[in-house]
Formats: sequence, C-alpha cells, structure tokens
Amino acid sequence: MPMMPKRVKYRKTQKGRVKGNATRGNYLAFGDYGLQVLEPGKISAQTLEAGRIVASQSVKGGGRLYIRVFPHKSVTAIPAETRMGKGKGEVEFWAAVVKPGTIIYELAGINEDVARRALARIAYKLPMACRFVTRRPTL
Amino acid sequence: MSTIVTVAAKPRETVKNKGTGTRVSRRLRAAGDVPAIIYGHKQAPQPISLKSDDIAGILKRGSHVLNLDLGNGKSETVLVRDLQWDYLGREVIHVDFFRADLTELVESEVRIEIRGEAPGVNEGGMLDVPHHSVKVRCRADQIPDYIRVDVSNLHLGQVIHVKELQLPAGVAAVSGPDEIIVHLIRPAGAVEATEPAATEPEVISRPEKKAEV
Repeated sequence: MPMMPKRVKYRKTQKGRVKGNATRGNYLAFGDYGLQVLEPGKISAQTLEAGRIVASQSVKGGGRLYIRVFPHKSVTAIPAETRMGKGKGEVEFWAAVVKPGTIIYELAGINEDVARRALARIAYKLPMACRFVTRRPTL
Repeated sequence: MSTIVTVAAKPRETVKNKGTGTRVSRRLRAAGDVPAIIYGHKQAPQPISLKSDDIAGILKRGSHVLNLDLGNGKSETVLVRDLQWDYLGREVIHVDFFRADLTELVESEVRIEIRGEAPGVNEGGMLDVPHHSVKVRCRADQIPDYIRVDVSNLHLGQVIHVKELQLPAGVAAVSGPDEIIVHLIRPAGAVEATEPAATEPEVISRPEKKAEV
C-alpha cells in the first residue's frame, strides 16, 4: 500500500512551489550508500513504493533499505471533461516534496557494486535527476 | 596515531565586508579557497582561509590535528572542530578550528574502519553498522586517525560493543560502553508488492463549541 499520513489537519493543500536547496536530510544518516535528488519536485507515494520494490528485488533480500522522505502533501485533480469551477478536485495521490540535495533512499549492509545497481534502477523510475552518494568523511 | 600536518593558511581581516561576511566568503570560494576560523583558549577568534586542495588532503588523510602556518613566522596548532558542506555534500564551504595544546585532554570523533570478512555474512546475515564513528577522549597529539574493528570472527547474531573496541594506549571511549558498533543481523527479506487499498487519512476535526445559554 502506498505511504500516506494517518491523520491530517486538512485533506487538501495548496500547490505551492519548491524553492531553494535542501538544508536538512541532505547527508547519509543511516546507510553507506544513498540516492540524492539534484532537481526540485514531488515524488508520489506510488513512485516511492515502486523504488522500494525494485531495490528489494535488486539486492535479493540482502541489505537494508531506508526511505528518508515521506509523502506528506496531497495532490488533487479535477476529472477529465469537467467544466471549470465547482471547487477543488479530489485528492489524487500523496507526494513527498523534495529539494535539490535531499537523500531519498539509503542502503546498508551490501557492497558498492550492488548498491550502485539497485539505486540506478530506482533512479530510472524517478521523475528527476539523481546521483549516487557515499558517506562524507568525518573528522 | 594522528600525524600533525602543516598547512598554509592566510589570515583574514576581522572587519566585516573586508575580511569576513557572506560576500567575502563567496569571493574566496570562487577563487578556490575555503573560509575558516580559529577559536578557543580565551583568545580572540581569527578568521583565515585555506586552499580547498589542502582541505581535500586533510580529509583524505583523516588528520584531526593540524599545524596552521599563518605566515610571518606565526603558526597555530589546531583541532578540526567542524566542517560545513554545500547542500550536495560535494565541497567543504567552511571549517572551524579549535586552538589545541597538544598535552591537554580533548574529545574527538574518530571514524570506525571495518576490516575482514565476517563469516556470518555467508550464513545469511547482514553486517549492520549503526555507528560509523566513536567519541574518544585523549591527548590532542594521540587522537587516532581511525579505529579498526576486525569482524573476521563475527557470526550471525554476534555484536561488537564500544567496550570491546581495542583502543590505543591513552585513548578512552566517551560513547556509552554498551553502544553497538557492529552487529550481524538477519535481513528482513524480500518485500512483496501489495495491492493498494483505498484508504484515506483521518481528518483531525476541531471539537465543537458548546452553545452558550
């Protein structure tokens, strides 16, 4: 089942614009390898779920996958061939709003080659440019 | 043990918009330098700049203690206290240095280096590393570059805690002794695709106000 909030204050939200770069969630916190978004946008819950499944198939049950984003934002749509007006459309799907730099998936417990392959398969499904990242050196 | 590397640094004016400030920092970064600051030991903070190549070298070596050559025969022994990265984590945009006396006790994060092939991996386990660094207390000149953890005898279900780490002489762990460094766990297994169920989130509604009489 795609992810969505359990409780919300308001079912429908305004569209908004994605501005700026990620200042939080832009480094690897749990895993050894990750997928970082390079463009702003929205990732639907269905896409996140598809990424999770494809990563799971790629690593063949090994390793651990972390999903670092959550689809908090509802996206509405008006049905086709409907006259304008009559209020806002119904909620079509839930999406995670991401800024450039956001880490969306992390992988741990597998080697780099397998992680690269798994994350490349996820990146192919995503609606924006991404890159493979490893841990930053710590001092 | 950490080797003390000498790095050339240029002192900056402490006056805003001349030596410090956003515009000055941006100009420095465009010229291939990294703005930094030295503070501590109840002395006035000194803004400086370093070559970004030197920073890359420091990161590669994992040096914690540096000798900054400030020119005119002045030098400072410092500890790397903080690194600021750009939003993509590609480049260091600022460094904090803490003035260090080599004989004083300091606390520092030291990275963990996993060595060996765990036999538990062949038993179907997964090597989980919850902490990639350990906080240690030791003399500034004794900070190790890394702490090696040998997992060649680790079987499924076995754990290596902080208290089991082999630390060099004079180095004590500050992190809790029962903190897990490495453990071999059984992976959760493949995830099956599930049919989406048509559910909606619950809308939090305001409690209705009682009608005033």
